[in-house]
Amino acid sequence: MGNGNTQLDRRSFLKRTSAAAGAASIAATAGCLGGENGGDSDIDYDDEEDAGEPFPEYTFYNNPQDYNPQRHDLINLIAEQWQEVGFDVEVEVLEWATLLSRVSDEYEFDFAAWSQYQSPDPAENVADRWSPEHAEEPGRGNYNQYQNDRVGELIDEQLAAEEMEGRVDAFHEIQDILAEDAPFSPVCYETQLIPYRTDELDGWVEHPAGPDRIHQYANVEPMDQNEDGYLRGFWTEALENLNSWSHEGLSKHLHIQDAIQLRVAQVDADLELDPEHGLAQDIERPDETTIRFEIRDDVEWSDGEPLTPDDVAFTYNTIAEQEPSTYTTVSNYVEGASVDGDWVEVDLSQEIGRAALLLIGYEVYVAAEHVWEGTDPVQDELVEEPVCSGPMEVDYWDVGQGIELETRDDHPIDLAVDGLFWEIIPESSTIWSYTEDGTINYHPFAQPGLELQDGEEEIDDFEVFEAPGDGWTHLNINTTSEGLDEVAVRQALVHALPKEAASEQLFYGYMPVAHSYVAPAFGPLHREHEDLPFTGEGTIAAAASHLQENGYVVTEDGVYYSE
Amino acid sequence: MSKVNYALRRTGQLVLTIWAIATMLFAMFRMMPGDPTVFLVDEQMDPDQRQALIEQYGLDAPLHEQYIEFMIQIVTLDLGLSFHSRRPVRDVIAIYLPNTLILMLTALVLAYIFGVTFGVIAAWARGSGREKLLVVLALVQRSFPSFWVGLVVLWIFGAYMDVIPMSGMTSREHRPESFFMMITSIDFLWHLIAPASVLAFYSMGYPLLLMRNNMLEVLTEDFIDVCRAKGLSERKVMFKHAARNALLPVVTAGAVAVGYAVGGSVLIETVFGWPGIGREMVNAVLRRDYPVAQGTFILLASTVVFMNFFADLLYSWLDPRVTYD
Repeated sequence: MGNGNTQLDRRSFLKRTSAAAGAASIAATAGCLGGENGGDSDIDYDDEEDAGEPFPEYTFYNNPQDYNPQRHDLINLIAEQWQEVGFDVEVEVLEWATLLSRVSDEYEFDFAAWSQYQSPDPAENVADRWSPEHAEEPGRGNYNQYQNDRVGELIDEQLAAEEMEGRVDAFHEIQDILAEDAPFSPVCYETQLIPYRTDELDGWVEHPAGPDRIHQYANVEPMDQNEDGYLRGFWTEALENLNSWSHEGLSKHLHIQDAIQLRVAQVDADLELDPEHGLAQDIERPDETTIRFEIRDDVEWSDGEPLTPDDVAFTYNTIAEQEPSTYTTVSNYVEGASVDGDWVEVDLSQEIGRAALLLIGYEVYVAAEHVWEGTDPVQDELVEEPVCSGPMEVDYWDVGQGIELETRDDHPIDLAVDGLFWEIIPESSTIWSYTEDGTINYHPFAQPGLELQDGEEEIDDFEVFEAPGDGWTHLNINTTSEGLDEVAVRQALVHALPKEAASEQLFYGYMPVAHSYVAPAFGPLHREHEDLPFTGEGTIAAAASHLQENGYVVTEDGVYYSE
Repeated sequence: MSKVNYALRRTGQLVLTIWAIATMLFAMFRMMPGDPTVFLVDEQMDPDQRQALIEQYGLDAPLHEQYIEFMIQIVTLDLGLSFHSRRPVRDVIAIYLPNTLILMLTALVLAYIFGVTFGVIAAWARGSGREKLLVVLALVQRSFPSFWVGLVVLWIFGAYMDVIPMSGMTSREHRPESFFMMITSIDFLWHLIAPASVLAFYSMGYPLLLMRNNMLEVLTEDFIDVCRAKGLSERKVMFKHAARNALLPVVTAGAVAVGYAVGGSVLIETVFGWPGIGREMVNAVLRRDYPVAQGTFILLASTVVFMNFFADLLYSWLDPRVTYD
């Protein structure tokens, strides 16, 4: 837990907030943060006569309470913290799609907060989020409207860097600048969690691409109790299309694709080429605008046809010609591809360094030319019986009930499990009953919460595998709003964030506090910022003091510009 | 007015009603907060491609053009493609509707068999403790939320006693090759029994009370005295003569109930993980999947309207005394 006036544990927080079940209780709780530990009394207020213009009112957009109760409470808590400092912050509730559209499409907000992931590499995300030109055109990704030319240069540098060292340097500087300028603040890293029955499964491995990917399927072993040798999980709603060209926004779809289709280039936990689990055995860079993949020759499609370099070239050429929405980034960079023996040569539209392995190789599932040739647009096809290149193939699929994948005996990538099964279970208590009786033996997409914690405690032979997360819950600040366009103000706002309490409140102790844009899952690219003078300890007095040190006036009535 | 004229007038009303429902649906979905394109496109998608996708689904067209297109779709029974799965809405309905129909019809049959029987018994035993018990039972059945009863049933018989399955229509080990093989299997019946019983429990109260009230009214009529005077047994008077005459409103109410029941399964389908049209409709609304949401709403509303229409015609056929002035 943090120190000073952030002494608030999760259970007491929840108890207090749920007891009154409303904004009033939230306000009371947040008030306790300041009051009990001297938050208000610690502020050394300025004289009102020094005050100039007051700061404007701010709106903090949030989901309705029933969408994410913990986050709802947290955002009210943060707003109350800022009110304690002296800012006039109102929380406004919007339905999720409207909220997302208002912030990320229209750039119309002061504050917002949600979760985001960067799998498998932060290269693409950092370019979308912080490119200066993206700030000027709503919908391009830089919804904080943060303008920093040096960050723009570094984004290009990391993209063009041939060696890891160059990427590391660029990423560290980007993180340093973002931490200092505070256009947003990560609140807590979202650890990857795989709850599983220890008597049925073993061998989970860490990988930045996340759980339920080929690295897990290749390493997880069924134990004695697991009679059918299956991974048995659940999902809450139907999976409705197995088209590998159109899986945008459907994480469960992506995970199934990862089992039944091979990526052109697979990467290992260090984000290096992984020839054991991928299609590319080797990679070459003849120049900055060309990347070559050597394709393994021992893979057959599930219909018996050999998988050839022609399939890979066909895939890239289709992406370049049709630009399917799933491969937006790839189609921005790929001009076309050709075959040279066992090698496929991809022509790029601009200089890309080491990041090409991820942006061009890892992003793409190879498609069978003999199946897809002549299909236009490929992304609109409804695929019910996919021809598979991966180590599993579809054995049973009922849109309404579940999907079952069977491990292919003749596939060169060897899996210890015999298959995977997901049942559609919309009701959460049923999930835990099924976990207890062994009907399911793991939770593919676990959300940390009270149920997970209690389930872990109550069910025998049950553990949660935790790996560093590739994303975070983050607070967004619109850097063009009046007052928020000044760095010291944003720093003060971050100062007052109760990150420790927030992490406990949101994720029941499963997630560590976050300070950096790049999550720890990305190893050397990650940089901690614990030495920042405004790390988000929720210290109201320190936030007020920071404002005063930078020339603002803090009175009992609010925050003002100086005369 | 003749029966033919009456039927024609009701047909006209039916068409107008469906048109009004469709228009309201169109307006409602477009006035709802939330942008369907958020679910269509990736947050980090290139703006040009995002726009292309939006155009592909006609979401950029003026509202009046979207409205005309929507009406054409309804008339031609081509309800478009799901934003979410890119599956034709007709296919989505074809996948989920049979599952709902089986569940609902099973529940309604059970509800009406037991409800009507208990209604007759309640009327027969008027003033007795048995009648009070049955009336209280009917009120309790109507008062307990079906999802709550479902959760209790799941908890007791599923989680605690482990005698019913917790979710779905079939077991993982049971993979029938066709829909017919599925619904005729023991495994399917095992999965059906709990959700159907919970729904039947909820639906039984209405026919029970209706039958009881109708019976009480019929029992005051002269022909009942005639029956008794002929020396018929009380059981025969009750079930053969009184119940038969009291059944008319129950039958027509049953037809309407079928319509409502198709749409009333949302909560039960969710609690029991039953892959029906109600669960899919909720998911479609949450995803802003306009085509599926509109298609399923239109289907459910039309079912109610058609069953009302059918009940009216049925009434005139069952009771020739009914006039249409």
